Amino acid sequence: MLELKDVSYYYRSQKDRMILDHVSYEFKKGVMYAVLGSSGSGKTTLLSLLAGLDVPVDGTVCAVGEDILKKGLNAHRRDHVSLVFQNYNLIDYLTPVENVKLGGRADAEKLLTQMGIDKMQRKRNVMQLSGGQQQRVAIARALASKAPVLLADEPTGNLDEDTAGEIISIFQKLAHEQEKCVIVVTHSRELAEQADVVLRLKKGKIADDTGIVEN
Amino acid sequence: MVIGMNILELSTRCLVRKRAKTILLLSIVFVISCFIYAGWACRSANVQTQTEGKQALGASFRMEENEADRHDRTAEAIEKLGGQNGSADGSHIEQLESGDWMIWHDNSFETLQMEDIETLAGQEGIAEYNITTANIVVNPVNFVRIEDPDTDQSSDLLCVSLRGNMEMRLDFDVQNGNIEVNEGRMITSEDRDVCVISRELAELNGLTVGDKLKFNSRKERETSKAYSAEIVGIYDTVHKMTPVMYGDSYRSENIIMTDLRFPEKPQGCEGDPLYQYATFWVENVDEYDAVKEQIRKADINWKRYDFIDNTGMSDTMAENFGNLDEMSSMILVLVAVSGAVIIFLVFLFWQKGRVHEIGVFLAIGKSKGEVIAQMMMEGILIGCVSFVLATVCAPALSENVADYLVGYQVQQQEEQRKAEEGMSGGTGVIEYETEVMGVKTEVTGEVILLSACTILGVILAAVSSSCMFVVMQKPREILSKMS
Repeated sequence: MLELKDVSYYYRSQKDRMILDHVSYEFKKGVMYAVLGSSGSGKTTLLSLLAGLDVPVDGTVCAVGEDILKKGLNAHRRDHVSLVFQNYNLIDYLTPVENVKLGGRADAEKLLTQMGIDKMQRKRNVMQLSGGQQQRVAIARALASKAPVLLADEPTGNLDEDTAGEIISIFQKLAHEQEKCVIVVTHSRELAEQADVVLRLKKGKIADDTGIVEN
Repeated sequence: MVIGMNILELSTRCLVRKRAKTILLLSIVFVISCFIYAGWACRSANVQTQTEGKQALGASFRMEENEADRHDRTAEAIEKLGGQNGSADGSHIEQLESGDWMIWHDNSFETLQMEDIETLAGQEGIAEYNITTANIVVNPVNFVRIEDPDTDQSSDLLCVSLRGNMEMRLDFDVQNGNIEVNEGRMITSEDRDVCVISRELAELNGLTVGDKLKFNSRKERETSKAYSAEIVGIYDTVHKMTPVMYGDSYRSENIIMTDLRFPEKPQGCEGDPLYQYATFWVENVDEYDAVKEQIRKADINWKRYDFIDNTGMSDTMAENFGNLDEMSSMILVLVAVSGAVIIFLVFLFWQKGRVHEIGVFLAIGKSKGEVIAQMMMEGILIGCVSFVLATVCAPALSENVADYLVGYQVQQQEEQRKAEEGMSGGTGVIEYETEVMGVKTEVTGEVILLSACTILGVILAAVSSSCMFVVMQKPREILSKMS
């Protein structure tokens, strides 16, 4: 589905400090991944490379077997991946329905219903919704693109425990029922416990890919 | 392309739902649009002036040389010659031993163009027309002129004036009743080498109809060829004709009327006439204004002429009125540049607050081009609304701006005139005071088109410049600024 092939990343000004150091890994569909690691371990960089928001210094990122640089990063972001952020990142002048339509599908109303956003809420300004509701709209927008990979950066970071649990449950369903490849970057132990595979990043390398590893 | 909302939908929603920002930008672009409109309208304004002694008669129009254009053409000739002695386009330039430059013009530079006169004469609604030459000063060979014994003639040219007319009956002094031909006849367009003289001149020299007068060049009195003109009439003076300069060469009794092509011969410029006025009479007085409009549309070099109507009003194009054209252009450039800078800053400031939105668009797969296109579309939509509003306000604003500029110009000219008077003690030429009667600006289709293009250009330049930061940054860098 999505594969890192010998990927390295460092800042040009700090060549001696590898953010990602020859990382290779294949993400599969129908699996929910949690990426753990301390601050500065390269989690966000990994997500940016998978999302096509940045390019590796060495190595390649492939989607469905094809180098994403060859297909084009815009096309990769549009067709292969969808993103969910910690701070939801909805467009403030659009309604929930319009935000979801940005994803590209006409059945925005249906998606919002699936995410538990009722009719009244759909008509309100998106900024008037609660954090949990905004994150649901953001997930609906991510699903609207029909991309096979869902990348989430600390999706429950701003949510209370109950709401976070609901969002985790949605991710699980997406992976197991809709065969999506869900990759979640998180600090949350609770979220990681619900993932099928846990990847721990340490010193720019994937240190472990089974179960939760203590920091 | 899978994106579910198009650029227009997004731009419209952004503008409608972010009202405060939209109104701020709309106000700025509206003010800029108004001034751009005013600038273009002023460039094509007509300044209506009335000059004492230049009133036209009845249902007629008069065409004269435009002073400002004359000045421009002289400047062009000087530039063309590049600081060397020589001639260009009827202007002659020579450096004197003192180091000063002397510039003089031949008739081809000064004259009204015959083809332009004929073009206007051929317009629908024109019944007849007359051409009058400048008063050409020539040496009287076989007669003496009228002199005022009490006047010092030392600085006078000691000559007489010849005034040629295509049809003498249409000469403005005949039409005004200043002179009457009571002996012999007037000159017609069929005549060649004929003249009509004043009663005083005839009596002084014992001349009658049928006699021939001889004239030659005032510059080469002894050597130049003398040309004869037969007297076909004698005029009586009812009111003295207004002299164009001081000195007896120009006094009323010494003005000799001739056929149109005679004055250039003794002047030494045969084949190079100097037509000073062309007057056109309309067929139907009731259609005067319609004919005037029709004539103004004629394809001639209007910049070269003043066109005076029956009220004595002269429609002078902005480009011929002082520095009005220059000032309008300056306003346009200033408004366009400062407008672009202001819009650029507003959009830049606006975009700093939209990093979040731009990041989201990039994250969902929109290209930078699409993001910039949306910004452009927003600018264009605001520009369109501002433009429509400005179109409503433009006529009044243009009029006021043009009035102000013309008033300023008149004041400047007056101050300059006073300063020059003090320095030179006068030029010897009788000067008539020109009064500005009004300024007419018209928001024509051309003005609208030019304004629209300018506003669009300003907006596109400003928005595209302010979008540079989107182009220059990686999506990840933009996204990193979001949190």
